[in-house]
Amino acid sequence: METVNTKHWTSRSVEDFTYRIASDFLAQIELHNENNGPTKTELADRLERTLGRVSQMFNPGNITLSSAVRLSQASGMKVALVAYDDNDTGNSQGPINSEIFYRCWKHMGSPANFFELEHAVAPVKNIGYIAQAANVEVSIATEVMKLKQNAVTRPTIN
Amino acid sequence: MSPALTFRLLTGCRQSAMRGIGFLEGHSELDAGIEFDSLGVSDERYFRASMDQWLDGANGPKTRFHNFKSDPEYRECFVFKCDEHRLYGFLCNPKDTDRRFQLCALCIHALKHEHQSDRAELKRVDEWRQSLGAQEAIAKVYPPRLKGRQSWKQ
Repeated sequence: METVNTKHWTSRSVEDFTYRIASDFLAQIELHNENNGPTKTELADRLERTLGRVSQMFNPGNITLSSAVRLSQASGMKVALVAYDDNDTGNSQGPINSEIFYRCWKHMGSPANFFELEHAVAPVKNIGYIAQAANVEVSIATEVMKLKQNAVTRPTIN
Repeated sequence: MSPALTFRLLTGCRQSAMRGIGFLEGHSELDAGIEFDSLGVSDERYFRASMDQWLDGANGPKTRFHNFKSDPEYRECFVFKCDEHRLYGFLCNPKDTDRRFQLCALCIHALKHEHQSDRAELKRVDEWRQSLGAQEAIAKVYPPRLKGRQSWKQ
């Protein structure tokens, strides 16, 4: 009864999609700054901009790559552009929230390179989800064995 | 209160298994849906991006949307914000098969220039929340499994 079968609003145009991913990025910065980051006034000082100009930077319609870098650096963060394939070529479901990628990265121990990623140990409770998300047919027993092997080379989970 | 209320699910956003958003309509006071439909491109995008954020499971940033959990009178009220625009509504758990599912039923649009939310608007939203018409309208979209059940967990 409650099913709504319409395409995601970001499939209307490239501008809509761009707005949404800019909004996701800014939401990450806002959330970070709400919790433990700088205030808008401190941001203005660090960026050497007026408060009004800083507020404009938080409008997803105004964001550029360089302003994204400036804003994240001033907030004590970094920024990455991430390409991914979620088997939704027509974009009927909309983009994946950038915070999801960030949390997955933290979840895997914040690997800084491919070597660290190879040895990253996923928390055991999420094995089922990981196998599902990766859409691969890997039995849980096999994954547990791999985890044990990984644990030998990297015993601590970050 | 009008008995002929309807509940319209928001289209174009990805309603998840855990959260949904829609508009309570059918009375001149319930203008959130009609105002949302007539927003300019930029404001509509901002609201939709914020709604996506909430539907995806985020609980902030508070500059975009928030509940009123700290206000004992209006604990179930909710607001989406975009500049001076406010879309007020309430949260409920309409699926008796899954009590974790949260629905945000948007009711009232307002233009705000002050930092604080107008408690008069929250009061109106809370009256709609408790109205039988609203409960029936939402129950049509999320039919209760048990016959005769018309209210959700308070």
